[in-house]
Amino acid sequence: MNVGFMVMNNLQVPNEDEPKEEVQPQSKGLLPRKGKTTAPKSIMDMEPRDRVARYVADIRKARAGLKNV
Amino acid sequence: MFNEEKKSPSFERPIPGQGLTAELGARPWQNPPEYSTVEEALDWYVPRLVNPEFIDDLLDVIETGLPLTTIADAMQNAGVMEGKHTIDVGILVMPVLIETMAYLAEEAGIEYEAGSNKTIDSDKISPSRIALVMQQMKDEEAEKPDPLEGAPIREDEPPQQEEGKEQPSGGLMSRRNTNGV
Repeated sequence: MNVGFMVMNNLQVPNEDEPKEEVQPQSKGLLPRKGKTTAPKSIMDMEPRDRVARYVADIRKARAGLKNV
Repeated sequence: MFNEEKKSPSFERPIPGQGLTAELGARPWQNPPEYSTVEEALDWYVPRLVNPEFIDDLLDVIETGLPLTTIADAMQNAGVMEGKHTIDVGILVMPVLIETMAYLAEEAGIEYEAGSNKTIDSDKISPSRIALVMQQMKDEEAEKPDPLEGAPIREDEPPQQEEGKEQPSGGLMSRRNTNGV
């Protein structure tokens, strides 16, 4: 059993091409809905496996930069 | 009675349970880990990976074709045995170690075996592929026209009969043979 093989295949690297959430236009009425008050998560608030996936994505981006040079 | 044929037991190996005979806490992995988070463990690993004294040996090993996953697994196992981190943190940091080694290998222009992709032998034909090709051949065979079907029929020529032989008539008023049959 190759642990590295399993780890790499189960890693869910975030894809930057994923469509982002659509921003609904703000209502200009008297009682407009307030926007989301939740602040964007910092990397330390994420789960360890998500943090690792983010690190891997960063290194992959750097590798892609090496190839493009 | 002493059985001469029976081989004497080998004592050159640890006895079962010997690994548990040491005092609790005497082994590094039985103590609290030195680095308890992924980031702390990476701060310990990454400077060692890019250390100029270490990187040449590492690139030599990578060049031999040893998969990066195997190297990373050995590294994190060593870290666990030294009591640097737990095995959970070791498993978590493995992808970062693999990617870092891939980056270093690409930077040095070395071909490497990632070990995370399934190798596909192009010469080996899968049974499903063979079955698909067989089905395609059968379909093509069925679509081909029958060579006798398209042959032209010539009406001016009467059907050839062998001389001296009459075809037996099957009707009620058919002639009888000379034999009376």
